[in-house]
Amino acid sequence: MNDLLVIGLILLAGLLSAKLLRLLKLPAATAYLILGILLGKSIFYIIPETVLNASGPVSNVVLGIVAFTIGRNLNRENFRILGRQVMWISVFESAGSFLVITALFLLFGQPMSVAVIYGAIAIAAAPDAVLMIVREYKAKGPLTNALLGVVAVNTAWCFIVFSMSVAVSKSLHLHTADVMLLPKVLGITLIHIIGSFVLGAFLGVVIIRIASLLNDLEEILILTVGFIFLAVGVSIHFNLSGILACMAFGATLTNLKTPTEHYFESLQKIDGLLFLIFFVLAGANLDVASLGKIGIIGILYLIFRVLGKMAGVFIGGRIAGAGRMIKTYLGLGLAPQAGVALGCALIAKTSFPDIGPMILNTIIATTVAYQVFGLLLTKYALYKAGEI
Amino acid sequence: MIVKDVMLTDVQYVTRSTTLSGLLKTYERFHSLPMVPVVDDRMILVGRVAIEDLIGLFSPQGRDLQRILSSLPFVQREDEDIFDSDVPPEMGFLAIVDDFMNRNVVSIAEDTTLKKAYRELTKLSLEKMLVVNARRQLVGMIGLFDIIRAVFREKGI
Repeated sequence: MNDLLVIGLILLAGLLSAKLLRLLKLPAATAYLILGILLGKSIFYIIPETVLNASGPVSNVVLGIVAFTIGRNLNRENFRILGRQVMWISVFESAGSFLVITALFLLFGQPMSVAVIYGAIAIAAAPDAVLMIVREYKAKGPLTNALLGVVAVNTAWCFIVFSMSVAVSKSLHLHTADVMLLPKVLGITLIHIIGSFVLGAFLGVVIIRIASLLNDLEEILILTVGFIFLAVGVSIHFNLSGILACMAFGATLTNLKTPTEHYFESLQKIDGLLFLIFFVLAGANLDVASLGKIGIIGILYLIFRVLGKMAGVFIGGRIAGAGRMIKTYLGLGLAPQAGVALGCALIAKTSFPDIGPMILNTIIATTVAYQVFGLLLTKYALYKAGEI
Repeated sequence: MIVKDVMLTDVQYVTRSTTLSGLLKTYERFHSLPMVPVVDDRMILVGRVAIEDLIGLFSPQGRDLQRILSSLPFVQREDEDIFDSDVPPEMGFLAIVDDFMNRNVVSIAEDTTLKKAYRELTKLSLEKMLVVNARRQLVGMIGLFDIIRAVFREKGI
């Protein structure tokens, strides 16, 4: 089967599978992911290596678009809407899952460079899955609002910590024999982060100047996508973080005084299509034969990630003076894991050819598990709080 | 020609403290919601109310949180079910414009040329735009049709 035929098949089968899984009350992302696993090299092997090799660039661009969209929400007005309680809880639930999962992998004998990557990916929640449950069961109340607020900012924390972790991991890989290891690692990480933010902010200012010469939304779409590619490409070239640069790019636009909503809205014409391809290719990367190797560590990841989130929510909620229901159940509600985690794992695969495939396999397998059990945990949390 | 020459000056507006009931009454004779500007006591433009802001009132999470959530990646955009939602009658006087207006309002200066105004409207895919003076006070409204009409008139039609 030629590549174009395969891509056509992916798109049509993706659409159909999403409609079918909708009947089972599962999100479209789950349908795409399962379809990818079925079409991938481990089962029917319909997706050839040539298409599968595109996973790296596709995930870089999709995560660039995702990060750009997340940047849109990073403004003072949205922080005011979300409120102090949500901000505290989101910081601590992210820190909780990061620290617990990093410690877990260190305990299992993994090096720090691997453990921090798992820890950072563990931060990612799944806003689409949580919102689907809330809509499905018409949940409402303080826990629902706090949960939705936390998932709205969670991705930004995940991207920041993941980018820092990748920088730390790369430095550890490069300088393992160095006596001045810690200052060097911190220095490189700092340059990596600041450089990415500066690049994103610069692109945000430049795009406004160029856009003033353009006439319609289609041109704005081309310009925006072009700048996202540029942000990712320049980041790869200078060893910066593409996702941080794109997030800073979006955040710069949203904080300028000129109208910028149309940059983000223009992307909505193509994002659904890209997300479908992204999830299917992510699923197709799963090496079913290696699932046995994941075994116990995968199961522990599933459990301890949620425990880390619960502990973080409890501490953050206590500091912010949240109610008992929020402190007790919000962490459970954050259990689903989906696109953001997969995207980070795909980036890890391309950034670290030696350890990346194992990380990706673990995250695909746990994502599939969370798409079923995570949704049940979210539903249970809302039920226990009396909000459905 | 500039925007000031062709804009509509008699614009109906609301203030931050207008209640939902007040807003519905102000616009009860319209069968599609026009551009609803929100001004403060010095007539400075502070926001606008659009149809999606009113639909957002049917969401149990509130319009602002709903707006943030629907802009998140991977989230499927779904329409709010306005027929099957619990909206209490007290909302009419408890909800004020300040609670649900969109603060991110696009406006154009009154001394902008018509050519530039036309380009801005088409670029942002807008039918009309609010017009402000140098102090950001609301002074009018301009639509694509106003500009097209002015161009026809200039050509003697």
